Amino acid sequence: MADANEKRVPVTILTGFLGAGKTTLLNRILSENHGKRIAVIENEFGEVGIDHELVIGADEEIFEMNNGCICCTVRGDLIRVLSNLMKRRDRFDYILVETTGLADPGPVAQTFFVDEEIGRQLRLDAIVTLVDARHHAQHMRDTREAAEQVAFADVVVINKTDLVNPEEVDELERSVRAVNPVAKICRAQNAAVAMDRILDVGGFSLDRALDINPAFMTPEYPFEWRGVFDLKGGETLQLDKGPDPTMKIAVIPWDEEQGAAYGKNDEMAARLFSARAKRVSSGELIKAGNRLNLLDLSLSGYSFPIAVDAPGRFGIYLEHRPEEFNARWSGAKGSLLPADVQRFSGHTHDKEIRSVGIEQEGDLHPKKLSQWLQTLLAENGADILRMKGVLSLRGEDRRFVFQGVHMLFDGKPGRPWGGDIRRNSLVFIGRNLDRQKLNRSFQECLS
Amino acid sequence: MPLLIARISAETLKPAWSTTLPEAVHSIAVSERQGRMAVGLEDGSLVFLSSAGGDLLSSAKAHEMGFLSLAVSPDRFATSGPDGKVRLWDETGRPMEAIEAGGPWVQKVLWSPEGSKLLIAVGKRVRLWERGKGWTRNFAPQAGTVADLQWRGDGQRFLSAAHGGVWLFSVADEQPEKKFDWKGSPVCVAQSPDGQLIATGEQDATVHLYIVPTGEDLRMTGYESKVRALAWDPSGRALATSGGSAITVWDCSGDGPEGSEPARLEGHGGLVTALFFSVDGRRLVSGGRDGLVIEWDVETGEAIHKTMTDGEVSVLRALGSAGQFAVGTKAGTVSLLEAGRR
Repeated sequence: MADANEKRVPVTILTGFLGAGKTTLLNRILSENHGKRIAVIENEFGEVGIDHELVIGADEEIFEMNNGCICCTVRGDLIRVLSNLMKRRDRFDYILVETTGLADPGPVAQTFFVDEEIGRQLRLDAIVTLVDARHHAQHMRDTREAAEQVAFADVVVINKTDLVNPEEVDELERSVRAVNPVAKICRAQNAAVAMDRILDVGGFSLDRALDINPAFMTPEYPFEWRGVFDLKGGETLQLDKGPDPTMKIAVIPWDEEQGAAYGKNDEMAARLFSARAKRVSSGELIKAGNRLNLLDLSLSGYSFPIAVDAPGRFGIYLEHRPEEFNARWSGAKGSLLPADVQRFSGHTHDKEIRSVGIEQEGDLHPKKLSQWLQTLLAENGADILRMKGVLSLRGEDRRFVFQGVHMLFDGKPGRPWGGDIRRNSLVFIGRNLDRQKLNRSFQECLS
Repeated sequence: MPLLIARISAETLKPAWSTTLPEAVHSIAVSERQGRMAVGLEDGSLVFLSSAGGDLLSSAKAHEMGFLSLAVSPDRFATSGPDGKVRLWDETGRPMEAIEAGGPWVQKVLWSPEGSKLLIAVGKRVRLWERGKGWTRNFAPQAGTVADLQWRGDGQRFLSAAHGGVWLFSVADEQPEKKFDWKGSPVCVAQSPDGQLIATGEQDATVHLYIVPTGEDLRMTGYESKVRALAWDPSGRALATSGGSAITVWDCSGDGPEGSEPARLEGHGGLVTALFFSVDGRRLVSGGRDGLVIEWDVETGEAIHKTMTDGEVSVLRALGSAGQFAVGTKAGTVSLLEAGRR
């Protein structure tokens, strides 16, 4: 099977809003001296200016494929253009498909799963999404497609980073991560990206699906910022009026032993954040320990003294980003700086795209798993944009790897487990995904 | 997938001749008068062979980026490609003019039966080009790229199949005379000989059938893959369709195929890619991705002849009415076979 796969010509789908730099990137790819014969399929309203003989126009013809019980949309124009390209004997080494700025990458990706003629000769390598460092945040707020394009991506290129300051790029990267924690992110100026970061990356490859690591996915926390401080008691937090009338704050003893890497402190704080909060007005004490403080910020100009039982190192967790309230920390010797700062992606609402990672040790009962997956795809297929997973099936000495788009998926046995700990790692990116419910129902598939 | 071998051990047809060309065969068109055939190759070149012996007469690069369509009139050939061009060739294969189609993707060219008008499908639109006049009409654009065209009757009307349905145009009017809407994506269109039924093979593994007098339509399902070949028998009774390794034949007589069980002809070990009925309607010839060409007895459903070619069959084209037909393959071979008698 692997040999047959290798013969298939890789295809990269390039998405991104108008002005994100798709044309510049295409021109770079085409002018790069890589010895590859590349064909470009450009959308009908493509940004002009690609100087290349192998550019073919296509317009978005999305139609519904009623395949038994599965209903999905595919791109009829792509089927036609791609199958025509692949009939030639002197094939291309690589195909790039550029989508219109506002395109939903779903139908494009699904075309490769659904059409047998396409699937036989071409393999979808990756979806590469270009985002404009200046305008992406705005696009994410204003459109559904901006987040979708990021959610579908295997690689996100944050372009035009020279036009904004580094903090803004960091912020953008965090918001990209919040939507899609598994995509590879690269920063670029003038669409200058190393070719091996965007071509032949194996985003849809089952052999490379083993790379996924949900542990590296940031869980969703109810706070946006954490600072680690050495406190003696009597320090003060001063705030200005900000976008929200209240802010939750927890000050918990910092357990270095537990290790920041494992996030035990963060988990503890997360539990505390779901507890009942004690309302604190300006001038009143923020108490450390097992208490959630709710700062009243309805008026203006606030100062809160911090009380600790004993001097030591503390993690201070803020519900909102401190800069939104111009937060200032001060101690006996004046301004106080945190020893360490961690930012967390903002909490998302149900309609927004988010990712859910599942990481569980143990073997799965194949029948229960298949039932679980069927139910999940029937109920949430339309909302699941991408999914990937490495599974441990009972009685199988090899990993089972799968990946998919919406309700279409593709799976096969992967590397043998050998002496490795048998664990299941899955990532879902989509809308309306209930993390707890997913985890709970998945756990029931363990035999 | 179960592979059923044809019920009787069919004889093998020996080709009258066989010629190997340097590229996969895309299409074949025959000039009866000149006794030559034009062969479109996937790299965009056009080759002329003698029908009698398969001798290579001439070869030319017709289009950049591949081949999309080949049409023949009583004394002309026309070709189109994804390079936005239509080229005309005289009946001996000499290049004549090149026409800029007005868009990059020229899916289809089709001469009117008497050879004066040329329909050109470019992008979502069909345009009419006439000999001695040039461009004479731009028809209203459809929702997607036009996939297939067919003349209707005397060359005054035609069908255009695109994403969203089949439109019936009169050459006299830019706007369609009738629209047969369906939210599907057709691959090919074929009307029954009396024009009462219009069938499309669809990308979503269905056949759509429009009943012209009543305006009703039917959706026929159960195919393995997109339906890329359709053939009506000359009486208009049977519609042979391929959307898998079996050929599905619908009985369209009487009340039509609604609710009926189609006949299935099983003998190919891969997708059936081309179909045609003999002029008398008694034989159906099919070609498949398995390289087999099978001649079927329509009455009994038996495979009479089976011939293995050197590659996936990409095109079948009948020559005259004596039962001769040309087979083109992805391996680049063109062979002339003769449908035999039992």
